Amino acid sequence: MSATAVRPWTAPAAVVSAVLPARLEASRQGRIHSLYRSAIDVVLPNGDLIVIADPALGGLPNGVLVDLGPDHRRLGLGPDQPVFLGARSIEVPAIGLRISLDSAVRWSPELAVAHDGASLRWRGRSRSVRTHAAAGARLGEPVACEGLGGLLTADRPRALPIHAARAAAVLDQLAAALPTDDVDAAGRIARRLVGLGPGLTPSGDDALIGLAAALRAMGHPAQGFLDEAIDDAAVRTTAVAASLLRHAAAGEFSERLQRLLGALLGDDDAPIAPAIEQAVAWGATSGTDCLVGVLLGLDIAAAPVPQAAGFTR
Amino acid sequence: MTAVVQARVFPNSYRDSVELMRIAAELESLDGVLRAGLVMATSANCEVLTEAGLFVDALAGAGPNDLAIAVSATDDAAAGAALELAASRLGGQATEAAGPAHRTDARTLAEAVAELSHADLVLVSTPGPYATAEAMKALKRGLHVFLFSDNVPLADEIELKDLARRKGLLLMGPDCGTAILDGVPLGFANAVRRGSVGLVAASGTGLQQVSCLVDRLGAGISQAIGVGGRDLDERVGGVMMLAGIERLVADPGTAVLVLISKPPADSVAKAVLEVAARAGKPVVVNFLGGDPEAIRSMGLIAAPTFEAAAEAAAAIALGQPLPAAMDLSAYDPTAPDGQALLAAAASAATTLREGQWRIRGLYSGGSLAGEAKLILKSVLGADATRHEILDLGDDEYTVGRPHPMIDPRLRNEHITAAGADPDTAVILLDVVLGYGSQDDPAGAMVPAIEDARAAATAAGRSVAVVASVCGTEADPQGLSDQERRLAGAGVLLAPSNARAARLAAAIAELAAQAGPAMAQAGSLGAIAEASTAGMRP
Repeated sequence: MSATAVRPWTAPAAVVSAVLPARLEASRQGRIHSLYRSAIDVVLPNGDLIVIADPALGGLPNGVLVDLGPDHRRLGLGPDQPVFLGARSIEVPAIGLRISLDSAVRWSPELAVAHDGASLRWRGRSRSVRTHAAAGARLGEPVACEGLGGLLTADRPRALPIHAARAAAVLDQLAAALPTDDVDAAGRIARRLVGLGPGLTPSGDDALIGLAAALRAMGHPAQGFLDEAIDDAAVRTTAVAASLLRHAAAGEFSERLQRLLGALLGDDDAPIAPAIEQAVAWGATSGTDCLVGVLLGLDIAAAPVPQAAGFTR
Repeated sequence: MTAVVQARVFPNSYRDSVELMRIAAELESLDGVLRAGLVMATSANCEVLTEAGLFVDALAGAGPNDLAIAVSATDDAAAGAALELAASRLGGQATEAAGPAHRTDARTLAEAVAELSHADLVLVSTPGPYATAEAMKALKRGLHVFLFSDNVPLADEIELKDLARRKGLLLMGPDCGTAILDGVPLGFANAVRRGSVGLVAASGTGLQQVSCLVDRLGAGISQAIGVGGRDLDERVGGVMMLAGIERLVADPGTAVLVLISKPPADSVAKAVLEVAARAGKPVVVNFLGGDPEAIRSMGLIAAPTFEAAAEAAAAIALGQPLPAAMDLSAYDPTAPDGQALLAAAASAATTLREGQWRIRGLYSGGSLAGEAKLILKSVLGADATRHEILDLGDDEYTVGRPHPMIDPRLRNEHITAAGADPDTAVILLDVVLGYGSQDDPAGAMVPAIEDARAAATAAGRSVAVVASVCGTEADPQGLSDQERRLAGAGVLLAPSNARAARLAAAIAELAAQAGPAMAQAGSLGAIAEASTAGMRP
């Protein structure tokens, strides 16, 4: 018998996704799925993941933000340990931890639709934003370009990794299909991005999330394409990515992504460059990959005529 | 040249993308390695690996939650070596999730008992509101309970202990931090040698301090029974301390008993001492701050500090004469380390400037903080209240935070702040090792100590840092290794908390006596002499 138990302790959550408490209450119990420096993933009985994350990560559609110390891998947790879930608390008996949700700020992951005039404004700044994005992706090299960052640095010779070249081809097809409002056809194309590329949320998934967010922010009629694309995500991509894709299909996105779109579609140009720099810094490639999807989505939604966007043309 | 490809699958394995890229780059830098790919084995990625010529049969069964590593190399040896390196890199921080075929963890007490039918003790560590029910279930099944949970209502504690007493079981806790039963450490316990000293303690770090010092003195522990900090409260009646004494009396492996607690209620103290007087074995009693005469009058050995309790118990266990000095404030300058300690205090005091007078004790152990307060009071008299001894493990400081024995951040903040405070003369610290504590508590503290010193230096001052390490060489952190880290940061080390507190008091006393003349003090010996006189009873 070893003695690694710790005293029961309570940590007050700072922020909780507004859609989460009801889901926690309905699920009652989950299990530790995986552990990272800044996050603990908990799998629910229906296969969805919730994330217990450091507040520095910002609001997550499936997340609770709480300060649990500098490295969540060192809390003494292990995969498969039970987690008790409720609308007011999350309890991890293995380490005596109770995360109280009572005083947590309810943050809404639902992405708001931009006000009228966003299309016009985007058309006016699309080119300059792409310049910023290319600069950001170069700043993030070589890591950012392990994902889809190479698609943003268009003035460079195209020595793309195989997955990025494949993604570029699919994104170009999507750029053609989405404006036709044939949501199912676009979904079938988008399906080829699911699970494609490096990372826990493979690059293709991040791009799809960014694309879906941009279409939703612009109120584009094809925003439902993701429902078709992720129909079998559970067997085509990682559990982490599948969960985030399901939230995206429901119109729920991270605070960071919401902020990025807010900056890109806002009245003022000044926040754009910093927002892009911050986006490129998310994770290893996730931010850059997401940005690829966002730019494509905004171009599609704001285009005065179909097929104005893409990455290879 | 024909390339060979080898691959390996790590099922249900999740790694940060940056980490995977770093490993890939490291593999590709190896001699003979042409290319390495580390990706989640989704169908899309398997197609990419195929196009890259990196897909081999070994990856055929992999799924989207499996990590695939494929290496192309000039020969099998290079590819194999690369995969081995990848495996070792990934092994360092295992975060594998549960696969479809995994062991079933017991989810209820009934399931656990069914799996482990010979178990006779249950460790309950659920949040307080659920703890009573679990402990009650265990007692009803005839199992002893180690109740680690805090926030258990007093009424529940009384009910649980009453049931335990009637069933002849131990209910250790609530808020029981430590125990060692038949050599098995529970909670925050230290790796001590087995021996004939039996402890019953209503004090977690008190038990740890005594057991570690007994170990250091060459004796060992038969059983160490924690009973929870409220056990000797009048309403609880010392039920479990009495039960613990009875068990140690009956235990053939126990030759001497040590009882540890804050001063109990009078009626409880009387009952405990009466039972102890009939033990038929030597009993050392440390009722921290209690009346030693009441103990001696019952024919028992009164020990004013944890260290004194350990010294007395170890002496009896080893067949040696009892140590003479048993007074709380007694300090013997003729003892082997007496002059050294005094010289250290004098040396530290000479570096202080006028206006630096306060001792700031920043403790992770509540009982150790209590002991330090008593010693300051004994040495400094009424002045002791002007100093500050904080128990940072108290509920007041741990709401929403892990205990400072687990997470160093809160105490580090206090250490840094203490260094910046112009009043501070001495920062007094405890470092508690053992199972359950941080991997490297001294190492985690050193940057804060350096910050505190830097802040003081920037203001033209210096600050003395005094610490004791409660632990043994066999602890996971290693006593001497931890002491080396502290000594490297200029910390004055004492072999026990009591001595650390005395050293801090001596420095403060010297600072107060020398006052503004301190910096010009020409005779350390005179200061030391004055201090010695002041520290004697």
